[in-house]
Amino acid sequence: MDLEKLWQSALGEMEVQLSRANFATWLKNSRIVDKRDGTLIISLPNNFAKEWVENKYNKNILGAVRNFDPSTKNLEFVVHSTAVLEPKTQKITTGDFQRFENKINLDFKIDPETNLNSRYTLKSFVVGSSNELAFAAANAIIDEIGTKYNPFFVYGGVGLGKTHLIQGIGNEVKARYGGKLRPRYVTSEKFTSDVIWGIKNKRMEDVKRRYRDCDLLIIDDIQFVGGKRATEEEFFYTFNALHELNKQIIISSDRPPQSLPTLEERLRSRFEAGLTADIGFPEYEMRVAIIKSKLLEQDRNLSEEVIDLIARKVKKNVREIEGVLNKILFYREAKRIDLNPKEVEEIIRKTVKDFSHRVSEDQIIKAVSDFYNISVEEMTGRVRKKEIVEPRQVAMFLIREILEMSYPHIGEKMGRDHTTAIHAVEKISREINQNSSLSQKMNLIKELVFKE
Amino acid sequence: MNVVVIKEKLKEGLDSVSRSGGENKELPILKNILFEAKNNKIKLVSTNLEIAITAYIAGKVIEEGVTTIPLALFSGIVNGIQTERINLEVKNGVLDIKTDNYNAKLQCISSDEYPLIPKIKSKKNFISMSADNFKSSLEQVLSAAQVLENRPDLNSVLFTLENEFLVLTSTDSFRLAEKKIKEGDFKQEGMENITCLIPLKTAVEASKIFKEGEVNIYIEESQILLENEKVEIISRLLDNKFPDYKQLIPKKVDAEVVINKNDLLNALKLSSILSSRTNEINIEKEGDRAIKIFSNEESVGENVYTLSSKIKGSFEKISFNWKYLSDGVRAVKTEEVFIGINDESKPATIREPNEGSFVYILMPILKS
Repeated sequence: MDLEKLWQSALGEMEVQLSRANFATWLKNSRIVDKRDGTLIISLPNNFAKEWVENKYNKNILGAVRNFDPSTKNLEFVVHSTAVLEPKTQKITTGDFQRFENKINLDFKIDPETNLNSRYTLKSFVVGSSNELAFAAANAIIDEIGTKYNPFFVYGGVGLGKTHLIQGIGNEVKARYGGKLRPRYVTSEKFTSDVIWGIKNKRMEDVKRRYRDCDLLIIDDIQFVGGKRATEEEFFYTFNALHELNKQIIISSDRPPQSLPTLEERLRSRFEAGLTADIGFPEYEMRVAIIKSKLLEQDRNLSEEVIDLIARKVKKNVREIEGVLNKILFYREAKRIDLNPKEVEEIIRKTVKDFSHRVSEDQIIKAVSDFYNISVEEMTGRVRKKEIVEPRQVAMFLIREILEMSYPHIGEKMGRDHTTAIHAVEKISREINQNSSLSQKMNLIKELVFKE
Repeated sequence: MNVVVIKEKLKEGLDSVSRSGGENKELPILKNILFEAKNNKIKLVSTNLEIAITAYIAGKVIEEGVTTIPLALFSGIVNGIQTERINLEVKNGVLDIKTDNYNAKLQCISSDEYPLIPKIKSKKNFISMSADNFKSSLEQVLSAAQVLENRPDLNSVLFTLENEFLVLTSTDSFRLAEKKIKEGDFKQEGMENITCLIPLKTAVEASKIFKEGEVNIYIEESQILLENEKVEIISRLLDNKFPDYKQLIPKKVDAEVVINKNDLLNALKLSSILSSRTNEINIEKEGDRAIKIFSNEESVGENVYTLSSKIKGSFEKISFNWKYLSDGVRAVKTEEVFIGINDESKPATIREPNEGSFVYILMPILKS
């Protein structure tokens, strides 16, 4: 019998013997570690639990274990790690490889009052055709705060610079208007937890005041608010209160307002009332410019060849470019040698995960069906309604694009013949260039697919 | 159980143990303290399952015994009692509190349900120092700490024993404080070099609880025991990583400013009245003999405070959060305080004029 199962069964028995409170306090977070020569080693979350279980439950547990595995003669208890979980908020702003740099130094840059990180400035924001509109709007907003485009809604995929842009606006406002205008930046996660805190501690007034007492409210990743009713409601009121007073509101999201499925209608329509701008994938020239500006920021150099290589290989995500760059610089500094293109390529290959090896066509189909909210059966079935046809074709297209499967294989998978598959792939690749909402959807689905 | 205690002693013991009290929905008994009379000693214990505090008080034990008493009620009663002696007797699960002119009865819970307090395996190896020294060193380091919800990894005090130095460090990412205690100011027995992280709460309570005698410190994998004759604190240790901070401490400074500590604190307090919402105050050099501290809040007003000081080297304007700056200045124990300034965007150093055992690093407010 495997150890994990053995322990679960023993725990099940103990749960019946003990009161709920005792079980939850002392045994719930226990784990089985090993079994050696008839001694079962069990780890507990702290010394208190160890002391208690060792002295009070030893016999009962041994009895319970022996019911399932008579070869156990003894129990031994140890304390397992108490590591505090890595803080969640950091994943948004800090790239993986900044760990090599001095972490504290970076953190010092966050202004406690506005929550803005001074690392993000509009000056260091690289502008190209994929984000021109958003950048121009940002500048217009800074000139005429609260009156020109309000609210300003920015959307785009992961790691394309949304946070950089909106924090940059905040920092620019702070610099230009000095103490006269007060920006405040918040992630929607933080907003949610503040609202929860306010409700729990009956201090909702404080929370309200904190968010309404500012001239520019920046909310990052609004999609996480969707479906949390109290938070959404509070946000709605905050939004109205600020909007009425002509205070500027800036919102970012990974998708346009109309594709935020769980968001309430009244909120969505308000988002659409202002200006909506998207940030797309950077093209080659822009990627080169980004790399150069990052290098300039850190006052370092790389050969043109290496820059070209990174820009060609890392296409979809600015954060990945940063990661690769930092890694290369780190290697160079640690080993004190220049890397040749081959080694650089190796680093890129390792950093930019090659997803296609880990994705199966079933995962793609599942992601598509999740996204469109229809069942896999419907998608592979015979129905030819419009709502079903598009997902079906998208799925075929994605299987072809990501996995490079043959048409007959795709057809078979979807219950069609190969000509249907060819037609679907061609149709979607034609439309994707003309229909921006389709390409937006496609990116979201791909994110679903590649999400681990 | 039947004991007679002096009210003040009991109150002192209750004050110590009340510091670890915490609520636990699953285990209501944690609102109680363990009360034990044995071998002519009275022991009080409280715990929140992260930290446990034990206090010993003197008293006359007429009959030995053990029970658990609701802490909040018991403290309330003891604090209100005016007479010097209190008689405590437990019969059939009811605590009878008696003085010359007062009598109360409290429901107790059997001690069988009370958590067992972990013990240190061996007390052979330890560090020890006077309570005064321990308390003031901890207080100095805690000047740079605050509970941060979003950075649980920083809610700790780093405790390092390296060769002949015991080093305490803490940071909240805006500032950092380090205290080096030299061997001689502390004693150690059989300890090897060691690095561990003490939870911030444990450090804060420890700095308040130990008031007299020698404090002995025992460290073992995953837990730490701090004790003097009267009180014992046992706490878990954290096992996450403390940031590598050594390189943050500036090696040299461009400008050295030496100012009278109390004058500076006054100046900061006064100028802060008109500081902005970000608690920002600015410091500028005024000739070679003085600095100017000024702050302004648009639409309210502004003020300037000139303070004579010894300046070597030069610097331009630099801005700080006045609260953080005061925390650091206050933690310096000498009459004068040294401020080393590098650049308006680089961390400043605050310490004693003659390099002492304490250093406080503060990040200025950056102008973007």
